[in-house]
Amino acid sequence: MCLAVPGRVLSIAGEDPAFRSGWIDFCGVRKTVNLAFTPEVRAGDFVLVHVGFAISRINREEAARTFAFLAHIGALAEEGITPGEASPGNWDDAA
Amino acid sequence: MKYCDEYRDPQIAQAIAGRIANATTRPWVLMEVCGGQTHTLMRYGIGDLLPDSIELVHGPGCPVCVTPLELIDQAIRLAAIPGVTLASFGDMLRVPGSSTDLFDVRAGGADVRVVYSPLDALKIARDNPERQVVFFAVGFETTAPANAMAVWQAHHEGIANFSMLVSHVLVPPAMRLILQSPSNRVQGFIGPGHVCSIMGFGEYHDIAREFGVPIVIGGFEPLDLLEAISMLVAQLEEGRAEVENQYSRSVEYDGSGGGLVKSKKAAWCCVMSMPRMTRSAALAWSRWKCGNRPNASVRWCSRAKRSQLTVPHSANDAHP
Amino acid sequence: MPDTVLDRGLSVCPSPIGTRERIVLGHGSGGRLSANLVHDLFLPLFSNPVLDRLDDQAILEIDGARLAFTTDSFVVRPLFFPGGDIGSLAVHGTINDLAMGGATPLYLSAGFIVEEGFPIESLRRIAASMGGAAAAAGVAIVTGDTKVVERGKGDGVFINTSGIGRVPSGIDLSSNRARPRDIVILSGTVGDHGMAIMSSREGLEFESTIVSDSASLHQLVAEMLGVSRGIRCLRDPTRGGLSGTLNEIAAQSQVSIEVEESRIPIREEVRAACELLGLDPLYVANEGKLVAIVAPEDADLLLAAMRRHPLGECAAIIGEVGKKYAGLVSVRTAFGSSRILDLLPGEQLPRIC
Repeated sequence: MCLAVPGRVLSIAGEDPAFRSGWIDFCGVRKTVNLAFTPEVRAGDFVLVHVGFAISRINREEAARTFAFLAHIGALAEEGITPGEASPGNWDDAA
Repeated sequence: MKYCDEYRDPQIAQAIAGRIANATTRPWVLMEVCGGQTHTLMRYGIGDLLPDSIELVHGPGCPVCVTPLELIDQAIRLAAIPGVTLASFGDMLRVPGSSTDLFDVRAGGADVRVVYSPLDALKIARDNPERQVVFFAVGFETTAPANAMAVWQAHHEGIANFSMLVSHVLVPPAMRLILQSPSNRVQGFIGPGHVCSIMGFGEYHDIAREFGVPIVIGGFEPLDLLEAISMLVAQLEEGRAEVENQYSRSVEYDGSGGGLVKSKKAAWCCVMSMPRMTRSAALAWSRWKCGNRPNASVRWCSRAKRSQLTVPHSANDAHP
Repeated sequence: MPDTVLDRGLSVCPSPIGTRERIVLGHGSGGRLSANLVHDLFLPLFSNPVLDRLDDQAILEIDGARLAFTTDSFVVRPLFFPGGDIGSLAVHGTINDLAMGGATPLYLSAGFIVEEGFPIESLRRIAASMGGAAAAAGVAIVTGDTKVVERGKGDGVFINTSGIGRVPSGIDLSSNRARPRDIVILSGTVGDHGMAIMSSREGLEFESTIVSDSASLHQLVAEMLGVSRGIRCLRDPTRGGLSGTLNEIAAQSQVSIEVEESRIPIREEVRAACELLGLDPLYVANEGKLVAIVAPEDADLLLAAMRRHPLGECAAIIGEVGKKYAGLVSVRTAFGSSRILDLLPGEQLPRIC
């Protein structure tokens, strides 16, 4: 039920929303994926693909924000600083 | 792989584990709902990184484990019918029914094929008009729209030799069952990230409120799960019971699937989800019967009432 | 009445059926079913000291000469795949089984079971591929056989190749010779062949530049044996993948083996394809790779020699032999945790969960 893999949309084809499909690249592996559930997707976007369907468009800004937070936790630990009360929701870029 | 590899950074994983250890003052019992999350926890040995006071109980979020025995037996019976091709996700082939499994049925001459997508099963039907192709449609909410879309496409193309044996289940009722049990020890849940990519996570607020348990919607990479555990521990230590979204790069409040239609039956009943489409599509779906083959006891889809669909719990409830 | 979801078995993953009345595809997968079939059915009926070693080849002493003898059957589907075909596969596979015993491959037989209706042009193409592969390897196909079965009984063509080679004196390689502190070396990237096949399978197709690694390894082996007398064992991880081979060595030598996941070379595309289908590359078949178990003092020298050869460019030290839990194979993850790398019950299938 859960296996979904991120891939980059190279191109999109099809006018009918139910048959709209994307040519998706997964690090050199390419496959046609149905985009009926993600009508907002455009070429260049990343999508999560489950059983041949894109189930969501990856929010790049949100991904960057949350990963930056995780990387910050990692950097603090490397410096020997115990990560404190910061959470992705209240974390300040300047921290 | 972008959006995968960076969430597998060992050094960051150790840092988050350290954060969890520092924040944990008491024993906590947590459950991850999804089988895919369990897979990651096992594969990366996440449990070894956590303090001993955190206990991870693995949830029932695997369609394989929760597919009723009667349906496995139905699939086996269908596969054995001459002229039938049973297409299935690979997961289901080695699941034992009451006396045998699909591997054994294939060994006996049945045409059982593994597919990656329900659309691949539809292609088999399209390419082999002389065969009756039955797709074993299992899954939680994540997979239901895909399976529904295969039906929609079959109807649209007039492919008459395609049908489905359906076993869809819902996560929230499963969580309620666990929480209602007198012997339940689970105090916090890592919610199903890909289910919520489709469904959103609005329906988990009632559960959190009713049972007083925190739920953090988590992703599937090691850092996702560690961060979700960290957020759960923070809530538990603070006495909060809220729904939070760790997997925000994929999950939004409303999800992407839209138009999910639930069964009127309780608990482990089937759900048919529709993509965000028009009502005409819903009506077309309602006219399409699942598995209308003689001598095949499969599930039927009843006529739609407006945008509502009901799916009978068993073939005995069917009314074409 | 069960009082918990757990009591209802809803969280218990059902165990696959262990005892069967009929052969299933998993019996040919190189996993536990395959092992059980050999141990429980064939071995008791055929047992002898040579066979009981269960190496990739039999080493026979005949009039003072040491000969390696092996046989393999090839049933791959599709018959023509990126990087090769059933013909070249049949030649490389049997040459490799001989080479894993340290033998110089000399002669092959080729037996064909062809399905009625199979295009003769396709058979010609396969035979040409075999001839070319054998010639390139310096091996002669000296005997053969052809049978035809009725349409529907044969899946196109099946090929069996048997092979003979000469084992130089002083070479004694066997899966039962691994000992604690030995080093595990892998000759290159894993999963290429299996994923190349998968990319062409109906229902699972995808586009990629993944090609099978099918190749004859005897010249690489000759280089390796030339620099080190400390090689205990050579095995090629075909069906069942790296996991199958390491488990066989661990069982036959009664040792444990731990490998470092981050050291196992995998092509990015192969990894991506495995992610997409939910497959573990450590269980995916290879047809041009070998695993060497070598004495620790020779490991670096051997690795350098392998990397000088085209078929060993990506060779890597991936792990070590231990003694704590005999027969156990484990993988140390990049996170510092360990997980057991067990045999699969049968074939590895794509998953959605």
